[in-house]
Amino acid sequence: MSRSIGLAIAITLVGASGWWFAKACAPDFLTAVFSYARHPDLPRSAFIDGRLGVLQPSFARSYLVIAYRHLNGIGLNQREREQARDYYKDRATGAWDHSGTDWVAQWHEVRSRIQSPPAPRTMLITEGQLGYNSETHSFFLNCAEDAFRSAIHALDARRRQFGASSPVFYSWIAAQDTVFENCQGGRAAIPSEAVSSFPALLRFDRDYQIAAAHFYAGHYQTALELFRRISHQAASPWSAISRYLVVRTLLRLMNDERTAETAESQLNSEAQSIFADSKLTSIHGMTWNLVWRAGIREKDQDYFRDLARLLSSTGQDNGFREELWNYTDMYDGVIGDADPNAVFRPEKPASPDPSRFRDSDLNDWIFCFQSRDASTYSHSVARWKQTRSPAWLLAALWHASAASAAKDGVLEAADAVPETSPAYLTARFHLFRLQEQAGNKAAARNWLATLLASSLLNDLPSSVNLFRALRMLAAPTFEDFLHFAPRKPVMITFQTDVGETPDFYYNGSARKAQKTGVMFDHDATRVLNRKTPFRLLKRAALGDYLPAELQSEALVIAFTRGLMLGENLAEIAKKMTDTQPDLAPLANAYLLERTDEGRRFAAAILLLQRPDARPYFASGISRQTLPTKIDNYRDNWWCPMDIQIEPDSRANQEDWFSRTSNLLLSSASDVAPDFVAANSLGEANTEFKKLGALSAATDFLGGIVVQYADSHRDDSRVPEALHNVVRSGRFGCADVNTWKTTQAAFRMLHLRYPRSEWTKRTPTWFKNDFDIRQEMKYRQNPGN
Amino acid sequence: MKSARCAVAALCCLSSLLAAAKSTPPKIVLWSWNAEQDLRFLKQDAEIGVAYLALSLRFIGRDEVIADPRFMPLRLASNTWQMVVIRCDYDGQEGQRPAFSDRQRRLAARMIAEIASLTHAQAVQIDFDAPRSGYGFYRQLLGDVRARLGPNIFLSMTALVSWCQTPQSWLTGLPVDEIVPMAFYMGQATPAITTMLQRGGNFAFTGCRDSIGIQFGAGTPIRPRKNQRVYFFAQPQIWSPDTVQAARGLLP
Repeated sequence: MSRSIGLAIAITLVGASGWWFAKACAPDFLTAVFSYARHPDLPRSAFIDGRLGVLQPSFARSYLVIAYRHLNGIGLNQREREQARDYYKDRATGAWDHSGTDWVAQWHEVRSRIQSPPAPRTMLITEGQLGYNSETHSFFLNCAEDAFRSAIHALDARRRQFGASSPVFYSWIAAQDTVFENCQGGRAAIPSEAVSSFPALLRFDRDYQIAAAHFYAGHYQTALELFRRISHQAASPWSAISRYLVVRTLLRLMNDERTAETAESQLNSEAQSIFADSKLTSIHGMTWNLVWRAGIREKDQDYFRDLARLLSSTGQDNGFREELWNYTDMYDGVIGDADPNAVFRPEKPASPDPSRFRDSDLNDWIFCFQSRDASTYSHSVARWKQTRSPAWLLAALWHASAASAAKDGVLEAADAVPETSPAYLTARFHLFRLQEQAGNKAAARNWLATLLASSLLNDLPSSVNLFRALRMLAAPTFEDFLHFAPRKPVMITFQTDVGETPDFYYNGSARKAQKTGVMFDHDATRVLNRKTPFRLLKRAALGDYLPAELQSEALVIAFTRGLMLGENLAEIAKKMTDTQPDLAPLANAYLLERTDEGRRFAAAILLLQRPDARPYFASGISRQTLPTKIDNYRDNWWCPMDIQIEPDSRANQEDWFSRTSNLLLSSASDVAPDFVAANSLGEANTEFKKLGALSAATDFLGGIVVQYADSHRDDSRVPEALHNVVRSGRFGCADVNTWKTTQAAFRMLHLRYPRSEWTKRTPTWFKNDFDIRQEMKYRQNPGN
Repeated sequence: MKSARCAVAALCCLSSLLAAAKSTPPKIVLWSWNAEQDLRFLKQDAEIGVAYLALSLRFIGRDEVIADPRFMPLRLASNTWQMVVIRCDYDGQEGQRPAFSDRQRRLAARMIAEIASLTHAQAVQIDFDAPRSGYGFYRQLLGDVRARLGPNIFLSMTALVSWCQTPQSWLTGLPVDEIVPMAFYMGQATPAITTMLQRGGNFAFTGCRDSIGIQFGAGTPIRPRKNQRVYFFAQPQIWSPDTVQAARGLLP
């Protein structure tokens, strides 16, 4: 039977309101998710069935429980899978998979297809579930969803066994209708006893239906007696569940002050006797839930350990959902502020107490698997050596270094995991990562090629992106790197969607995002921006290695960086004239210039027309405004390059709302592709130093324009260029002295070109009071 | 001729008997909205009845009617006069705006009949505010509800004060036993209506004069007229013996 719908609703509302509050106080920046960090690929049916993909330590714990069962060969039987899906439905995420079953609606649907006896009419306002209490003039959930699920299964079984037109089946249906008639309150309706000529199974069914009818009609003493009687009928298929229903009836009797005290004491002793009976494992979880609801066991270590034991055992059947609910609730309580998985982490996270998790293998494994503390490695290895469990092998791999993995045999074990194992893909990920970290990129490359071409990754786009990331790092050449760098996001959503919810509010607008094709993830931009010299960036811009969208971005980036480094940009400009119609006239003007000064001016004019211009790539959805339009959040041109943040426009947004980082991607961040050889890296570093000395875009471009304007008063392009310098100062990223440049441009424009259209369009000058350096210092160290 | 007169007289008697069977509200009715309440202390007071929110309906889009029954317990003495209130609402957001379709009307009428039957209601109040485009829908809905409830159930409706300010109101001829103008939360109409009512004025539409809904504890209390039935609204407070006593003190 189900936990109160009210609880689920409350949790959902709290969760939803959290997102809502989050939304209400921050702008909505779009973000691209390349591999889910909080949950497996969608729909989750494959995951529930044991196709785990690459497991992330940041997955919600319910997924890790399911993974643990598959990794240890416990698996989930049909009912447990159904229960897992219902758990996600409770968590209001069932719609992610479009496979959640509305058991109540399905019962009505199944029932309406049976002509004889005709289906009873259900009240619209109760939907056949809510009872009316005339004493309190209010409704309550009387028949929970599980009652309908159980009835559907019984109906199917009886129809198969006795035939749809048999009197036995007719009688079963009529009695079940009578049972559900009580759900809505009103006059009690109790099915009549089964005739003695009916098969024993139907007579058992009828006894159970009569007891259930009394329960739903509120005749709790009678129901208690009848459930007790059925629980002693070993031959009845309802025997075990009736033991549970005895406890559930006692829980309802606790609501009545006249019977509360006796009921509580009986509930406790009934529950203890169930827990002591190993044959009743399938109802242990449900019974724990009732004990929990009765307030008898809260935050109890024995309870926590026992829940973990149940979730690690076969035969949980219909109790699985309850156990998962209670377990995840309880785990949250135990780990508290030390939770490495918390969406909003406290300012000073507490230190976890590992001893709370050590007395159960499941608890211990989840604790270690989620831990961000590399010292967990030795314990994980020890547990793996003791148990030889693939789950522990994965925990060890996650915390291993290349050296330790080789020394302890972890690497060898990872290589030996068979393709058929649910651990295979996660083990492969770590195996390849560790191989690359050990410098064995050629082998990793070959294995990755085979894996990426295989069907093992079908419908696992998050895993595909993780393996592509490893393949990119193993690239022997720059061109090969570019081939594997672009990736297709698994989701475009808002930065505030920290739960990676596919039906996040306003996702309709996300679907309208201008960029939806392949993009670079952070690992690619890190290499391109910091470790790639201009000559290679130019090759990326001029070649045909990138998809069209990234190619055009590469052209502007190479053009910008080249201008800043004083490079000849003719080839890039030529490519622009050939492939970028909107830039062609400005690029052509650059090509027509005969002096270096003229070319620099023409290049500055081009870049001042493009607020998206910057000398670096941005990961994900780089900018959310059209390239030629001003972005309302100052994502225009570039900031000073010597600021100690990753050169990536997304960095400015993530300060406000951090998505859960992709831990697996970060775990390979020390691997550099081969083309980043010592000389290339040195070249890139030297260039980066030069870029860092050039301040913000307005200072740099404005400097070129003002200088040129001073000596070329009659050039008709000057007024517009001066206007654009003022504009970039106003809407772009300002440095400490940016105002001096824009003031010079503004004065020059008004003094020398008072009648120009561009002067009229520049009526005011803004002295920026926004100091990006102070801002960044604050962001890096808000405590000071 | 004589027999015809007898028949007419008999019919008149029957109809007056039927009318007598209708349970008319007392002079003071306390609204109990969505809050847990124990009003058993009213048991000695035959003068006071309770109108409690039992069901909320929300009209969405072309076909949808979402029913939200009361989950908050309300305890009443068995001899307290009771009225079941159904609140009808709609979502004004784009894409959610109701069509006020025939299907929505049929569903709503059935839901109202269900709650009346389940609660054994002797009196039902439909509480709603409607856009102009919904007037026809509500007229028909009230007709359907009346047909489903039968003539013996006291049918009340609430009304925006703006609907009561003209003699030729769209409320004319509605099949209800009572219209309760809601003289609170009146928005821009507050100063004018409050002034009018405080100075002894009355609503232009005569159907709005027998009852009035006022908020207990409001800054500028509107005092009901003599012989007028008063519905008191106390949210966010809940009713206690003291607040009931204080509300009673507002009566002329």
